[in-house]
Amino acid sequence: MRGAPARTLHCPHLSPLRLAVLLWWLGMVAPCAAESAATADARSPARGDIATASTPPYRPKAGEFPPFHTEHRTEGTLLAVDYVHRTGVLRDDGTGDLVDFSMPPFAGVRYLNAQADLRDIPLGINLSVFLHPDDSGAFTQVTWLCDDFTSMAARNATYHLDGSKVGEGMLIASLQYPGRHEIASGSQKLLVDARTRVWKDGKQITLGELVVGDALLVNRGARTAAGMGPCVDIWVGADTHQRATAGQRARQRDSLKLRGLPGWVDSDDDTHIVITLFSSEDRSVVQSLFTDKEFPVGKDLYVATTNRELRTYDANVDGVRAQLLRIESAPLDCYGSSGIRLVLKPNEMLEGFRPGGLLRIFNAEWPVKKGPADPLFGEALGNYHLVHSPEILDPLAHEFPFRTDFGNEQMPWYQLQTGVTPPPFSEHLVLGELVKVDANGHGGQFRSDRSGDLVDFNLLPQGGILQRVAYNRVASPVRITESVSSVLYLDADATLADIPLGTRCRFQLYQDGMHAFTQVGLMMDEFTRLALNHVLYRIEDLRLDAGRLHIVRHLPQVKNYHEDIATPLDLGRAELDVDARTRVWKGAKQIGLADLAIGDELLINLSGQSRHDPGRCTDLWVGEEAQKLATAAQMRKNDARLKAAKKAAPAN
Amino acid sequence: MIPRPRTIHLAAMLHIAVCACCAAESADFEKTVTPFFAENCLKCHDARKQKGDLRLDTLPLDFIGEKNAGHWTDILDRLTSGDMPPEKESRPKPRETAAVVEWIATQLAEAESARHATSERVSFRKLTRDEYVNTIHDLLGVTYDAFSTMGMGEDPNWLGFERIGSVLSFAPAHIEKYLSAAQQVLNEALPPGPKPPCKLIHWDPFGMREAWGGMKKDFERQGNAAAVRLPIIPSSNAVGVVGKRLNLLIPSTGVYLLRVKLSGLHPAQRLPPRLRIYEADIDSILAEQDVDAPEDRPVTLEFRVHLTAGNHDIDVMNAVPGLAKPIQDSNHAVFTSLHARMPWQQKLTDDADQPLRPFLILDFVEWEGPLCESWPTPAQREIFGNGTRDAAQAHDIIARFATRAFRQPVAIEEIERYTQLVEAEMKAGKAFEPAVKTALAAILCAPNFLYLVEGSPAKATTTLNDYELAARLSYFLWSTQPDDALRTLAGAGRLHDEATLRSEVRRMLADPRAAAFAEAFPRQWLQLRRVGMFAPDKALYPDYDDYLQKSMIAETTSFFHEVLAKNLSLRNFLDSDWTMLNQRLALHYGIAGVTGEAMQRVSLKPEDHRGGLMTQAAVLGLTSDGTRHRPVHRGKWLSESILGRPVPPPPANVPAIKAAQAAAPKTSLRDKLAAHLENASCAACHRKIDPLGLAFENYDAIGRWRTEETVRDGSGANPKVDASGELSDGRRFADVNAFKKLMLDDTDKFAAAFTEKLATFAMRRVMTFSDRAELQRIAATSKADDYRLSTLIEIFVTSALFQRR
Repeated sequence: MRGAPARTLHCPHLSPLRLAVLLWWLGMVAPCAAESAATADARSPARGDIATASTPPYRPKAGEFPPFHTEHRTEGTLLAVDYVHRTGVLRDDGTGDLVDFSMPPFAGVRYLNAQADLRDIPLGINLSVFLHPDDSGAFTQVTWLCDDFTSMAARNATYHLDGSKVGEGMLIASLQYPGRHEIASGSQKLLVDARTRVWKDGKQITLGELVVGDALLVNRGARTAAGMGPCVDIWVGADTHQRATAGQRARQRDSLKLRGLPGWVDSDDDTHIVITLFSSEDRSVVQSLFTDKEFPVGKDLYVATTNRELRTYDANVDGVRAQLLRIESAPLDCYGSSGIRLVLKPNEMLEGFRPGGLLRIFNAEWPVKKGPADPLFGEALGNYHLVHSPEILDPLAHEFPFRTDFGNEQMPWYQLQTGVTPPPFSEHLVLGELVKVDANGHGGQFRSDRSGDLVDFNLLPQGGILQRVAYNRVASPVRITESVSSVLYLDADATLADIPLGTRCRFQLYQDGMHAFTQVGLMMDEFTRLALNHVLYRIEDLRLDAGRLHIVRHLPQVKNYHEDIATPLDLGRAELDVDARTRVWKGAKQIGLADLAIGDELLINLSGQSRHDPGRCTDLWVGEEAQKLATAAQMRKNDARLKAAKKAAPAN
Repeated sequence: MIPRPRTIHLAAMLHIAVCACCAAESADFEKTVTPFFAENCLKCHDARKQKGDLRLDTLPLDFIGEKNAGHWTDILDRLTSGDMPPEKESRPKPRETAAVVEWIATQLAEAESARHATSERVSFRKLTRDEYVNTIHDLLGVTYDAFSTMGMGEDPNWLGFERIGSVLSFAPAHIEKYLSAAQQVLNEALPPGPKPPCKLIHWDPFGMREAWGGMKKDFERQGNAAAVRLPIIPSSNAVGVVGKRLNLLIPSTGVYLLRVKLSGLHPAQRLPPRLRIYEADIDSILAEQDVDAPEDRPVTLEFRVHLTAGNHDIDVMNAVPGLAKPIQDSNHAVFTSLHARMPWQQKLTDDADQPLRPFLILDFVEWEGPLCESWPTPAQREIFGNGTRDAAQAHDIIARFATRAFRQPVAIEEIERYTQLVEAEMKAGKAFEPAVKTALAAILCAPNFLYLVEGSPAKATTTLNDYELAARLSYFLWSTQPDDALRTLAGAGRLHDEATLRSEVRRMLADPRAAAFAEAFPRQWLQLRRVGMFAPDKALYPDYDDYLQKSMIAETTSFFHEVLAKNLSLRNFLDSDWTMLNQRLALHYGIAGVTGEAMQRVSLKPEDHRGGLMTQAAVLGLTSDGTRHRPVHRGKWLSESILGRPVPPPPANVPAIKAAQAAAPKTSLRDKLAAHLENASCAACHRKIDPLGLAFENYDAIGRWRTEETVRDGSGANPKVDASGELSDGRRFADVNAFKKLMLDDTDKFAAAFTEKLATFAMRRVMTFSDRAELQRIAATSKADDYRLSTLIEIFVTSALFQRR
């Protein structure tokens, strides 16, 4: 997807539901949807799918909510999500492409017809997605997404159950708009399977308990060539629908109380800031929190700045009190605005209080303000400098006199110096599958993820800096140690020959004399990367029939500020493909996929990913013992080689 | 009550015995005090009855003796407090009480002066710290820091004058200080061993900010260490500091080049940031300067500083006043650019990149030295030269050194004593140079060096000899020892010649060393040491800082220097259409167009509300407490320093002015002081004192112009300022300008008072009644030249008074 040109809406299978949903979108946010796509729309400053084709695509910018009609719309499913960085992998049903997306701070997420976070969205369900282009022009910025439940509930639509053929794996239903007493479309099939969960009045029931006439809302699995996937969840009856929505709103309220209401600075002067709070279109959550009781005019609230991922630093200590002087209305004809604009008088002006600056506001009684930032352990950036993992660090580009993957785009990349090991963060990181190793063992070839480009690489003799988390759950803070290395496999020094071809690796690349990224300072497999960072995958769901595992990425427990053992927040969630070639190791034995269990802690290795293919797991190591044995075996292998080389040296 | 004329006469006789001004004083006593005592006091304090063991009809008019002076002081206190006569008795008229109080106060003041002025055959007047430092520098070419906490104690003062012989005491502990100081300066002037190597000590931001130290390796590896800089932001505690207190280990005592590379971001209409290098262990400012340099165009400043060998605790500071609110800057975010600060840090620039507050961005601090610009040192060359290193050379060295140090020829026996000390040291195994240094240290601790010695034990003298005159003159105008020219004239016996003396005064006033007089005399005369003594409350006066305080004092001393250098009239002290300002003080006064730190002459417009000494911030501020101006203290200061009229002490147990009720309208201090005039016991004095201070009501506690008085207690609007008043002689004034006109009308009185202050400073003693005639003659003579300052000094120096012991 990266680098692909902007696309027009492509709807190869426009079901009645999809048509209805699309019409609802258009009706809600684009009343003039019927206009020709080629017609310039005076209300739209930039090209979207439905208007103003003659202008360049709109690119989100700091401090400006994207106007309506500027997005590219599609449907898709989530394959992987990183909660901390607000990124993930989305399969675009329109093209089949895998999109490595990120979410701007104002991006709206809705689930069960309520405002939500990425962490609330199950993997693998069909979603409606709005995309905007990133700096390179690729449509990777998700500015809005929601599930089918939301799409229908928001316009008061339900499925009317006309018949049940559970034995045949389907329900017969027709689209209905309650209150209008009419069937909006003809009967259609809703696929179900043994995994389909049915909810009614707060309880899970069986498919067999459904009765004709039930009003249903559903979330369905990813679209396949055969059509929409089977229903993942079915909610029966209006009360259940409202209960589901209320439950999600409650979760979102808890989340916002924990993290603060996000927003950005519209304007500032010497003593005041004007901010607009973010919200999805379900403004009820923000409105229910932003009440006179919680935030009375004239009283102080608490403001903490955040990074672009809306992560606070050390919100308990680095924020400031600010008097809420008045509340104004903000424009709503754009994506991300809550419509709530605040004029604040902070007791101290911070660097982040500039137009576009991101922040979160808190009531003094909310969790973060009540104590050190323990509630956000694993997510906030400060946490009294308790580093859990480089995975969640936010490196600062200004500390580097060269371009990095995270900033300084105006500077040249780090230039290699003979015999000097490049410093950390100077690399350009590329992921790809090892496809060839040179006979001399000093180089080879890999296929880059997504692009599929084949890159001939050389290993730098001076190697690269290896940063390892020296994790100790009884001694915080976690330290990072450094050493020089070149190739790592299974968390041990290795040669290229040790790594099976077809293994996906992380290549820390530097430019050669032609400014091509072909020089490798350090490379490692996924196992090593996880082990270095003490990140583990925990099996959340087994879908072996579909060749999939659902896993949760998380950090181990660590001592917190109070010297208590704390469990950091989960980092994300992903779908991993497995097949008959996937080897599974547990203890000293190889086991089968069928031996896996929910809750197993894994380290993995993968194959490379292409534009359409997320790759598969080549190996799974279950439990600490298997992981240690794998590392020990590779270390022995490496030691033996070193000894042999040492022994052979005098002969040379 | 029966009058007791015989007793009164007896008392008057006693008075004659102790007081030269007997005739006038006796007449006043007869006219004022005797009837008052007879009417109001003798009923309980005479031969028949001595309540409180006090008998007034026979109380000697002795204001010098401790016992009797104590009685008179008690009487004064009882009358001023209203304790006496008792309430059950009939009350005397306030005017009568005031007259008696004033008479007693005058007698006591005269007596105190007489005590100070009592002359012995040989008088010893100790050098002040200033004079000691200057003299050491002239003798040995090195600078001794007598003002640090490790140096000399503060000189005691009498009404601001720090050089009054009878006040400058000498305790055993002082000997240790002087011995230590002598060894220190001799070691620096005559350093043992080879030339010390010149070293460079470099402090980078990683070393100065403790939390950054661990990151240096990373930044060096990234090639970005040079980009790291260190912001110093003013904090809630008035100044910003670089971080931790830094330890500086100086290998050898000497002069060092202090080099600082930095930017200074200067907000419009605000103070510029101010670098200060402060040595905390001795409470001394090594260097300070305003800095105005953009982030991308740093400057490198250089200062020459004198440092002693050993460890020093250094603060690198931004010495502008801070904000009332705390700052959010952090140790943990390494600074590389104003555009790369963390969002949670304190905002330093606005959205147009203009600084919001004055702050510094430091690149490095370097110390290079000791700067041995010549080797051997000048003192080594002068003292040891290429001699024979034996007793004969020691004798020669001591003779030359002691003659200069003692400011007069030294008896051969005394030289021999010091020479024998050298020989004894050498016999004990010391080399020649250390042995000589021992003797030189003894000379620097000798009374003849530490004291200005006048007179001879052999015979009583009333006038100074030529060497004594040379010393008095040089310590008067230069605060240091006589130079070769003066010594030569003294040696030739020509200094008493009026033409020679006049010529020498002119030469000395034209010499840069006269700056010492222009600084020391106004500081002592006007009691400028009291400026900032009660540090202004940071909450009420957030802009007040050390730099402002220094600028305030510098205005007054530079103003004096300008009058002296240009030989202007004393009238300028009362009012002028110019003053001396730097940028800091001009900002304080609201006067535009003045830049830089140096004091410069600035023309004043009426709307500036300045002119003369009395509207200078230093003078207005020195009588304030930490929170408000104090009109009564201003009046008392003006009465003593400008008018030369001592003010009786306040009665004991005077209740404080009551704070207003919260609901009551805000009341000006002037209105509260009106209570003074309602109470008869207060009114007598306050009617004279208060108007002198109330004339300056338009100036707040730190000398800013105002038209309304900020009152915290009470409700409603702040009261408007009323600076009108009436002098004790009935002349009225509407405001400060009118008051200054009245003062100008009294220039003769001011000139007389000024001449007395000048003589007190020069002669290092309090003036007495016996000096008055000569003082009046000097003032009167100078009137012919419109009381021009240099002329007045010439007349004074060539007068009999100056040359009198």
